Amino acid sequence: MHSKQSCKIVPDATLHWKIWDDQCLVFNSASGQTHLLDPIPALLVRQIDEGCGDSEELFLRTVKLLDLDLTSHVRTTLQQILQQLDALGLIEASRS
Amino acid sequence: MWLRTGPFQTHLKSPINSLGQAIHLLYGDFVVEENPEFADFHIQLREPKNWRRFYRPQVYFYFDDQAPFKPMPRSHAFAMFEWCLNWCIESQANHYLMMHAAVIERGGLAAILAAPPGSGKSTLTAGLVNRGWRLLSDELALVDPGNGMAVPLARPVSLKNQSIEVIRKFVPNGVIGPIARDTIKGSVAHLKPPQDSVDRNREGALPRWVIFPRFEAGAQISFTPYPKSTALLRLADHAFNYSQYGVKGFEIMAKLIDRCDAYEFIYSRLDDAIQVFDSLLICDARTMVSS
Amino acid sequence: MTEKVDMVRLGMTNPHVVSSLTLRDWDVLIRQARSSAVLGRLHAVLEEAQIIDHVPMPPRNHLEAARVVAGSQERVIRWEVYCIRRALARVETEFVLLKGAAYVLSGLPFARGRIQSDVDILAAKSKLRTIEAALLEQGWIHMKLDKYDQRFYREWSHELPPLYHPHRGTVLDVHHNILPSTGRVHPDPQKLLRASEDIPGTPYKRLCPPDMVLHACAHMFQDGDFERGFRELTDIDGLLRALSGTAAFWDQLSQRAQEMQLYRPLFYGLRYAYEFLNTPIPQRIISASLEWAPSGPVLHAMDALVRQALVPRMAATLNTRYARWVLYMRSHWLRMPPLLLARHLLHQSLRRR
Repeated sequence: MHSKQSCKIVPDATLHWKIWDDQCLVFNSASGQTHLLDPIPALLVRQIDEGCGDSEELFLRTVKLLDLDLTSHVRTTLQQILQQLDALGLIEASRS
Repeated sequence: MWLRTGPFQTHLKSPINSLGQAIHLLYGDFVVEENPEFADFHIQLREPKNWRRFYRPQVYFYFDDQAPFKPMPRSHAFAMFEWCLNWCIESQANHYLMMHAAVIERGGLAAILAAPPGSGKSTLTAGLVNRGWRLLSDELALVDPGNGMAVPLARPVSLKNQSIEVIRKFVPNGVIGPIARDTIKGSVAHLKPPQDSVDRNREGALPRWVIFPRFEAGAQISFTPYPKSTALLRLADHAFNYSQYGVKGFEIMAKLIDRCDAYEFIYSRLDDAIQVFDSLLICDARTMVSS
Repeated sequence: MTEKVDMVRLGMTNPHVVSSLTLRDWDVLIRQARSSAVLGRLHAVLEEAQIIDHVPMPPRNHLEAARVVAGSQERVIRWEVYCIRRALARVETEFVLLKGAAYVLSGLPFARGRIQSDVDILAAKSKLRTIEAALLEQGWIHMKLDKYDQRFYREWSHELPPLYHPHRGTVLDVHHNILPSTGRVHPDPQKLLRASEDIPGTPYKRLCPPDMVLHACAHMFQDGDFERGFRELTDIDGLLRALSGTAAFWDQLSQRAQEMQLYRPLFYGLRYAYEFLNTPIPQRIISASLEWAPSGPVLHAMDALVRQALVPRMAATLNTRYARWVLYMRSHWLRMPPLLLARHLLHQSLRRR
């Protein structure tokens, strides 16, 4: 019903985190880039970094943490964020 | 001639008289070591061997026998020397994390002033170091990756255009070197560093504040706290070998920002700016007393 | 002392020698190594020999600085290669990594501390347009070249005009051969691609070991930019040391050199690597390689030229500059028919003014 994606951090990368209050800095050791992430993208990346590789499961866990319902609007937004994170070179989001 | 500026030993060879005079004037307080054996930078500033020596004379900069830049007029020799020494440090000294920023210190605490060229950073620095602050650097902040300390150079402060006159008035017994007119940056001159800063140019300091200053004529003075994450990114922007340092660069910056309070600072009068900086110290003392 | 003139060579081949150096010696050695573009390599060599901690302080800072820069370049190369793979995955085209990128991804020991800037890849000539289009779509742009240079690259050279990626500040050279098709020597690019092999543990390909050596030799002795001559020679030395582990290697190398018509540059590569860097080459190979030597007078001239040209810049004299100039002219001659050469050099020199 929903097109699944498999997500993982880009190969050979270690992510280094620095969190101050509600701001999240992530350093990608493979690309050498430093990213300032908003809370929801940061949450997604963190979970993928911890091994959550299936997009559906990722979304479900995320909305549970944020106390939201996984409506189609929320799902579309989360999918867009995944694409952006892919374009930033943090994750590889591919259709399975 | 051999010149030691903080951690660097420079070996300078030049037949240009005006350059030698300017160096004696502005680097006069610097200690000359006996029997130096190793130079971090070998710099030659010489005139071409052809007819250009006499007609609109020029000077070339040689580093390791290569001339990386176009020549400049001989009357700009000292300004060229300063730029070339900056270039040497920037391209070679990657054992430090380096930023385009000024560093000053007082009471054992250092402030990093990071701003793009033309924001009045050097004028502010020149003013502060003649009102109680120690000069570590006006343009190149060097951070030791091992202990996070700022490393001093205490070299002459470069002043451009109007700030030359501003500082002449603000520091009545300051020594200002030859003015190089019509450079690509306009008129450039250098202020002799305070003796105390030179005497202590082997003494590092731990950063306590990161400040992003900007001069704006007629503006209301404002000193606002800056969020840490954006401060890290903004400071990293000024650190031209941040990406070379990779993960280590991120960690060094994170530790530095952790320890520091970050502010954005807008000012229009030097006297007001000095007061704001003085109050930083008082605030710090108060916080230490109450905690 | 002659050794003092070329301490870089000494330091690279016999690192323990550095423990007897004075600060004055280091003053010269650091500058020589830097101008020969091997300061990072020198750090790696000293670190592997576990004597880096015995290097006295001001010089050690410079070695450390070079290590920082070289380390980041390795990361940049790996990431760049990954981005290229992603860009070309969409068009399903194969490509082979050349030179520095291949050395780094293969984890070859001499790649540690090596200064490298551009990434070079090899692909089939028929796929070049597709590849170029895919790269342009993913953010690469053509470097600003005038019409003449663009035409030179597309028609006469063996590579596309260089591509630049503005976000990452990297340069990519896409080759369809390892030597220009206008040159006197024409290795068959199909053979290069067919013999290419997977780099173990990665999704990338490299030239087969003999081809990597031949490419390095061809690059040094045909491309002719002897400003980096010493560094190129350390590459050849590094490759031979790393790849000669298998029993069949030397014979494969000889056969391949003849097959690809690259025996002359290989001859030079072996000869000068052995002379300057004590590369361990079996005696029978050295003897056999004499078959590929040029005539007596030519060899004599080349020996003199190369020895002069490899002198580090700090000790360089007019003779060194002249030697490098002659070698540069020679490489252009080898690369192009005479008429083209005259036009090309004339155009290059006009622009320099």
